[in-house]
Amino acid sequence: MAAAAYSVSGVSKWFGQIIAINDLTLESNTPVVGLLGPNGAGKSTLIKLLTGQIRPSRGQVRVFGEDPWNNIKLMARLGYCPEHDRFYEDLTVLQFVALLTRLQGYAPDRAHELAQAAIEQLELDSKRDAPISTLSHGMRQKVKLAQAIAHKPDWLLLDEPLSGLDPVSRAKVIVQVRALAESGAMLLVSSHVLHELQAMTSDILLLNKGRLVAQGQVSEIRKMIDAHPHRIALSAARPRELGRELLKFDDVARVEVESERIVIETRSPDACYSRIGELAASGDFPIDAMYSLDDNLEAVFRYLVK
Amino acid sequence: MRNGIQEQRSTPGALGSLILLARLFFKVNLGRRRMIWLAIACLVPLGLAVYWRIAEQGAGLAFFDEMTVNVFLQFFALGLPLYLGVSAVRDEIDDKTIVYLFARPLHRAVVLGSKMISVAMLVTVVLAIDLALVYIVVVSADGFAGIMAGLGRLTASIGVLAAAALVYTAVFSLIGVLLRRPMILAILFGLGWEAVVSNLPGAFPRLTLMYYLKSLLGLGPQSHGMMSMLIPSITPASVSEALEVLLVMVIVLFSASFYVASHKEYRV
Repeated sequence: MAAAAYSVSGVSKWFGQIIAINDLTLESNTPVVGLLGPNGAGKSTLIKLLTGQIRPSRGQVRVFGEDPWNNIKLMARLGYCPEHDRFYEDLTVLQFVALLTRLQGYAPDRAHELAQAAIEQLELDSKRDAPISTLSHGMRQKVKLAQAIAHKPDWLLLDEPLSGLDPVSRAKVIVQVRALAESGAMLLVSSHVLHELQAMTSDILLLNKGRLVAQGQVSEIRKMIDAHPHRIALSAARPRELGRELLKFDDVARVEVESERIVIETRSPDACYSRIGELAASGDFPIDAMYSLDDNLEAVFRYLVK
Repeated sequence: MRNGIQEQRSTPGALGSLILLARLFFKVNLGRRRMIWLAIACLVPLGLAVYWRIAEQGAGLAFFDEMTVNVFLQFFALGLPLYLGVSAVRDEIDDKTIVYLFARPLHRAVVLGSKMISVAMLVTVVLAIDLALVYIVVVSADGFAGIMAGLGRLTASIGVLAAAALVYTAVFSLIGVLLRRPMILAILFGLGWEAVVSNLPGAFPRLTLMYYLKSLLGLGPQSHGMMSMLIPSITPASVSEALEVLLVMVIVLFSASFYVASHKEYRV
């Protein structure tokens, strides 16, 4: 078996009293991996560790077999798209990307060529000579991507590349990331939205509170999620009676009655949804609203880490 | 990326990167509001010189020497590196743009060195032009011959200001990379230690950089009051001793800054 492209063994990272990564061990050789986790899960910290921006407080990080901290040779092989929206605002898009490409060790003409190619690839041509300060958030996100891909890195690490983008820009960036993956790039993409990552890759690392919760194919992760009880909230005029009725179903594990709503836990969400629909349609139990409490990733993690 | 033939890459040369980063520094900083204010502040000595010239208050070279020490050396050559040196790296860390540079195949010392050199160069050039203009204004009363006669003094003064720009940039850059909120310590050092201690009677001024910078101009501490009656002031250091001390300090401070920048982890 080939050596892992990157490995993290027993790594912890503290920032003062806060633990961002907690005894994390993983290794991977998969070309395109999605790093999934809610805010504060440690995704950005892990990416910063892998790109040598910070050092682990404990444990060992290896990228292509080397320690990334202060590793100049290794930096030449990586492309890093940071999470934050910060730039040298007065530079134009081309100046910014070309400058950073030159700092990768390319001659001025070649750096200019590569920068131009990256700008075209990300459909930024029309904004090539515009100061970065004048660009929309979506465009700025693409500029960050352009500086990360221009020097043709061996491994591209994208920290929340879809963060703050409108749906159209989001879809475009997803297409571009997929194109990068199809072109043979090795990628690590972080996000806190599962379906976004799913659109880019089928291999996922799940982080929560600095720990690796799960690793594998999206389908496997989904199975794990589905294996856990699903919570549904219902707003009803007579919540107690409705709760009593719902408890008659085998797949309803638990019912909590609050003032004007009830929360139920079920292991068969599809079946449960259809029964609730039937109940509502019968007119015996008027239901004003129904919504899943598990649409957010945080809820899914709560299940997985139990 | 892995498609096609892998292009040959090399890590960029330190000198080339230094120049590129220095250009970036000037491009990013020259348009900033703080630079405009600094430029306006630098016009103050020129205004004073014009006022003095109109009022014709004495010998031009004597006034020039006063301006060199009291305004340029003790105020601008200390204040500009304080303001620019501390913020050169700290601004990039706070703005989080430093990430783009730290993610490149560059030694962190190169990133820091480019900022330090840029600040020292900027301060030197600004002060040299300003001082030269002041010189022309105050000495022009004696005609062209007067201007030519004092050129040696002007050159020596510019040299001392350049040395001050270098050594103070080294001090304040170190404070900037070392501390998260560096300005308080920088002000305490600049306006407290360097301004006050360098003029105390006795051997205290030897503990300041300003003493050695003034010594390059043949000047000693300017002690006044009761203390100076009790403890006599020391004489200036020799030029060679002053140069040696300043050189050692520049090397030590730059090395310390490089070491800190290379080993310190910045939360960006």
